[in-house]
Amino acid sequence: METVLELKNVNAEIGSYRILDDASVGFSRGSFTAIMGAAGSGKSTLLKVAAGLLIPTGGEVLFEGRNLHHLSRKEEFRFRRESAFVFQDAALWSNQTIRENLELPLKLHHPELNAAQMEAIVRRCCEETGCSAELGERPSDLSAGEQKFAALARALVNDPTILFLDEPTSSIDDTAARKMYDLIRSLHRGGKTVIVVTHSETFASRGADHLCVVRGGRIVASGPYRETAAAFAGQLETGPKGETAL
Amino acid sequence: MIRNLGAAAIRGAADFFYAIGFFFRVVKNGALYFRRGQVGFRVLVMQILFTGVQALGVSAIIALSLGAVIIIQGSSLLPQFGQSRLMYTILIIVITRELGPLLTAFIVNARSGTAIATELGTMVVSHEIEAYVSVGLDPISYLAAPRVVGVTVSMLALDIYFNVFGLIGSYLVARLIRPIEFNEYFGGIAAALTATDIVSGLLKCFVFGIIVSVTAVYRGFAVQRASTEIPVAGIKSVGGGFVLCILADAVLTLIYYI
Repeated sequence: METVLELKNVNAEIGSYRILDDASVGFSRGSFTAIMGAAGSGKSTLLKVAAGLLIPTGGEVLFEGRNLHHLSRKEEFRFRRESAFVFQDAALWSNQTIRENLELPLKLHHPELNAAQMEAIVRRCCEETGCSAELGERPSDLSAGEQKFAALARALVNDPTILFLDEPTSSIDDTAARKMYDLIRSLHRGGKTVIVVTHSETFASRGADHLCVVRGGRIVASGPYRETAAAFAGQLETGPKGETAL
Repeated sequence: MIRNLGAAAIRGAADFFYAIGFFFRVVKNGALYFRRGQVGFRVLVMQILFTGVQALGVSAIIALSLGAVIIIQGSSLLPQFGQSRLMYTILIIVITRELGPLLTAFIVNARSGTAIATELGTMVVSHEIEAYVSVGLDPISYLAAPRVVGVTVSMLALDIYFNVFGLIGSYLVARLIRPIEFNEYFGGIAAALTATDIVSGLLKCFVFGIIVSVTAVYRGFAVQRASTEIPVAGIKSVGGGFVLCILADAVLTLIYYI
């Protein structure tokens, strides 16, 4: 399969603290990669660097073989249209309604759409994700779980081909988490490249075809899920306090 | 110790050049704001509403009071030197050229500077800024530029209000001291007012507007991850805005008299 996104010898630092150290990993088009590791190991940073939200202090991030940070404005805009990021804490724009949250990416990438067409897309995405929020509500009116589904709906309005998800099931109940697993799996089956940071081995084992294990800012293993998970058997699942055996 | 001093100096220089680069990038985006198709038009409208319209009350009260104070002080002092006719000139210098723009900047800095810095800081902490980047919106173009334009436009409008209310306040008090006709009073003001006074006052407001807004945006974006950084950003924004406005005022006044 064609590699759509690749990190080559990436370093990321905050101040003098190195969060990612010489990280190299590739993501194939249409693959489902789970990034796992202990809390604080650098998983979310890895995801943000891959999504172009953090500029690495060393190495490069390649999108379709080209350095993501050297793309022209137009090419970068295409990458943003083709990718979407679901944040761990939803990160819905708090001063906008749910409708406005979903319409903004549409307005940006599809200015040709009229109000009725946008409304139809927004409603379809809410329906597909099971986002039960009233469109006129503000994010602060929603529960954490509802915010997660609204954030997923926002991520899908432009029908991205690459989906980055940071802990999509954190701070939601088991029923909602199962619903989220099913949704993400069906999106992958629909052809999307899914890259997800998760603590849940159950979730990863049911959907992911690739596994990337991060420890202390370094990628210690990356490969087909079954083989890689077998090599780290019993070390991936996070305990009740967030600790893992890694 | 020398190594630490050197590292601190390098860090300080890097921060300084980053701030300069940030300033020019924001100002450039602000200048080009009306040339682009704007998704952020609502941000501009809301900024003008908050900074320009909602500050009218406080601006009017301060302007009326300032006008009154000038006329009271001037009426008691100038006749002693036989220079009563200088009253109009002093009113113009103080209200139109000096304190009008500076006090307007202080009002905007205290209200909007803190609001912008803390709002943007909160958005950084809650990852809303990253969410904008993830959908392809440049935070400088979408969040900073409309705020800079909105604050600067509002500053200019507020300065005009301030002048009007300041002169009205002085007239009301002048009438209490000695009966004076409206036409006579404002005729004297108009005679003392020159185009240079108007341009000087508006130029200062324009510069102060950019200083206040860019400082607030810079401090807001400088928040990293903790919510405790947000009030600090607000304080630094106001402190920095005051100092930079007074420095700019000194420089602009100096240029005017050179």
